[in-house]
Amino acid sequence: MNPENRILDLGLQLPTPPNPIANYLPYVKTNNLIFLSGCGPANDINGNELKGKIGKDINSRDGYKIARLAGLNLIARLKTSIRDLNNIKSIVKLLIMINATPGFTNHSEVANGCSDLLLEVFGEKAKHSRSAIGLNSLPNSIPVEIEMIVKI
Amino acid sequence: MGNIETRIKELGYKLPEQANPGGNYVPTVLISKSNLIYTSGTISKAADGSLLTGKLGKDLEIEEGYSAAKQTGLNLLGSLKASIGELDKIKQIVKLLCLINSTDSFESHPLVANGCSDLLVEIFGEKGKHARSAVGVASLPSNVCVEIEMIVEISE
Repeated sequence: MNPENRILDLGLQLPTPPNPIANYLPYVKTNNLIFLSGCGPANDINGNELKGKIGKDINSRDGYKIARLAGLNLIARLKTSIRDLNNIKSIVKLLIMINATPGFTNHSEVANGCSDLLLEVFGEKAKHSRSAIGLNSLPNSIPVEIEMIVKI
Repeated sequence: MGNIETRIKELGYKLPEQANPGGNYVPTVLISKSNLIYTSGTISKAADGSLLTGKLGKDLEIEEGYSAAKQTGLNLLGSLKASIGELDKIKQIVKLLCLINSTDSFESHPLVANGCSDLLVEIFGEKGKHARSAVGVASLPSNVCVEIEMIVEISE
């Protein structure tokens, strides 16, 4: 599966990834691993930041869509690190951090938004390990933040 | 004394002795083939041994969180020194995960995490530039305000 072609076939628009706002990098390459910094969803089409708590302001189904947007942002960032996504050998691990109410339990459903996207784009190479957890707050109240480790 | 430890001294910082973990785990693990070291989550313990506790957004101001993150960075370097002997062996700070004990509505996690990131760049220069996530959690051990994990790459 050619991920570059898959992105075109699926009609996916890769956003321009944001620059880090402090003394850190969007990713670090070490040996054959790339560690990506935590990434939220890109702004909506009006340029507004997506904010809110899942389980209160946002339901799981919309949480899935937001995790998918965060996944697109991660892919965009990955592309800035290696240009050709065909160089990725495998997606190793995701850490999906969900800004959630204390009683929220559908973390997996939300996290699937990102995992499913990666499978669609990368196929077999995208089979990854994952943790999906709830946190009580995220920077700028974004609903989801996702870290990723890939092997090249 | 290596260059990095000289730099630390010049900046007026003191590396703590590595603390003993309170459970069935170790402060650092080296993955030999990849030259990566994973540290355990390290808490905001002050130089005098007292814990820096409280919740950002409620008990503590951002500046206090920043200082706690900075001290946590020094604690992490103390563990690494105990593991590899010489901090000059660090080729690259790879990644931080900064966990901030905060209220539900706190938004300024990056400003707190900067305490650790700024320290690492101050000490290591280019090698100190790392990937990072800075997030809020409902609670941390002993109600400390900050806990940070780090991954570093060392030379052969």
